[in-house]
Amino acid sequence: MASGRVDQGSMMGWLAFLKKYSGWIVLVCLILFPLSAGTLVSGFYISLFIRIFIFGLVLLGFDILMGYGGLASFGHAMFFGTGAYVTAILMKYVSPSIWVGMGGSIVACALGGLVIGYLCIRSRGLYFAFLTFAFSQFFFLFFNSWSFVGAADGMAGIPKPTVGFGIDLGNRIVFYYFSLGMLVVGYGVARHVVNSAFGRVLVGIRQNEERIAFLGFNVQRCMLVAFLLSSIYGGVAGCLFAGYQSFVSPAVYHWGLSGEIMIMDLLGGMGTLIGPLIGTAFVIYLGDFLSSWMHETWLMVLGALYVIAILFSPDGIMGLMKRITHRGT
Amino acid sequence: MLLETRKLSKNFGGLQVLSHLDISLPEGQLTSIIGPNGAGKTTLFNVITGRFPPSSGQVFFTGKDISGLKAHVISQMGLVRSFQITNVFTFLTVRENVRLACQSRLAQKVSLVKPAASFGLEEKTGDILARIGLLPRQDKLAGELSHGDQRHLEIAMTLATNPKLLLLDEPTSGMSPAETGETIDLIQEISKTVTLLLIEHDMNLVMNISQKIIVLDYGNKIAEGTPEEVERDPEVRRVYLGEA
Repeated sequence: MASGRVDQGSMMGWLAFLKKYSGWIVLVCLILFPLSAGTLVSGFYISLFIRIFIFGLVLLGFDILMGYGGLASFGHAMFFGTGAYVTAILMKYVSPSIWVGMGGSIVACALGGLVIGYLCIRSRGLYFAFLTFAFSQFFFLFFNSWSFVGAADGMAGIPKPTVGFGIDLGNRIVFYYFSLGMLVVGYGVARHVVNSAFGRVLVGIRQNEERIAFLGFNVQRCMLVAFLLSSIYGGVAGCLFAGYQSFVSPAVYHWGLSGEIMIMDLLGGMGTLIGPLIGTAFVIYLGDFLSSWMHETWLMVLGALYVIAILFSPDGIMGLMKRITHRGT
Repeated sequence: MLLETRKLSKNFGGLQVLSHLDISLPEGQLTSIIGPNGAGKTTLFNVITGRFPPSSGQVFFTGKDISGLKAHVISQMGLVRSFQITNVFTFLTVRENVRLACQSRLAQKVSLVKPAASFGLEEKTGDILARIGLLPRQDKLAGELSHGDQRHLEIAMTLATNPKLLLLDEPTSGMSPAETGETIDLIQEISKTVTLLLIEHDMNLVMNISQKIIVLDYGNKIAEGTPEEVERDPEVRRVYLGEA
């Protein structure tokens, strides 16, 4: 009996250690992953992770807006798409530097986010979702027919991105580290934002908007800032996407992508930043795995999972994990 | 005058809820607005604090015309209200509720750069919690508090905003007699430092603590004066106390 107790104790210590440093452990694993030799690291997994990092950036911004601020946008792909197209155009016609594309994406999405956000945050709930959806459809239809960027065929011939410092960003492993680095920086910024004075007010707005206003906080301005931040995250992610794929098509503006962003946030666990990253990895991996033999119908599985999650774990994977670890302690 | 309304009216559709109200509050007093249900008391608060714009007429606060200003602007001027229906952040702890209210008065209240934990609001938050008597329950979620404590938390949050004028909307509604007594004591204590305007439908509750009473009926001011004057007023007795 005594030995059993000791084992249990050390097991608990182990779990506590894992829990405390889980973020760092995952990060170290991700850093080491491409270095591990042999067949394990096929190009397939590297490109899978790159997509997870890119969409993870979108989700960090989206979680500030929906998870913390409570504004459910159903058109968030419009900022991802804008970042992708702006980068594609700049890289093809101005400079292949990813920094030029990123700068352009940030400026374009900040301006777009300000204008569209200003118009959308006047409404709430379903109306907000519909308005953002309408704006994203406008972009989709526009880029679907604009011949300069290849209309529905998309835009090819984007050169390999350069990043300076003699680094070849065209190399997939290098791009892996570059996008991972952007994700880590993005996470750091997002974490700082949600812990800031602004972040506290944002959570208050989600819980009780009216009370926040009567305490003397400008709700509309806070909402606009949240919208703006999430737009910029979308733009940076779109930039990486264009730089990585060397090809963009109107699919980056498709409403289905907006829906997937929302599902990733909900499945992972809104308002936690980490949850949405887990949701992103989960959905992208599952999509890759299932669509290889189910093709389009894998979305049915995603839909079913979504329904199950809403019914049984509304706070997503993150909430599920919390409940499991709490039961242990 | 700290607060003044001039010919203040509010209609909802064809319904005139407030009609040509002239009210004035000097600094440092406790004034109560009484009247039966539907007299327009809460609507008056809503119009004064910027929840709705007035249909006509003006509201002046510290001499400035605040009619139609946004709620957060009015709040920042020092005119702060509580709500009749409990209105706290149920998923934040009691302490976090008060701390957020304290944060609303800082220059960097919505800073993206400044961590919320770095403001050093703990002392002020603790003082207010102690004053209201919520210190022992500060780490509970606000939603887990009893109804009476939630109402007290509501008052604590308004105090945290350093109000010049505090509007309390039926602060004792739904309370047990014991809680009501506590709340009345609390209000008297607060009135020593803050000008108060209180809504109550129970006349007896405010008789002893108010310097001035305003009586509303169907959106009209039917009487105004000291508690004794109002009590003697035949119109008040007829309309409000239901006497012939």
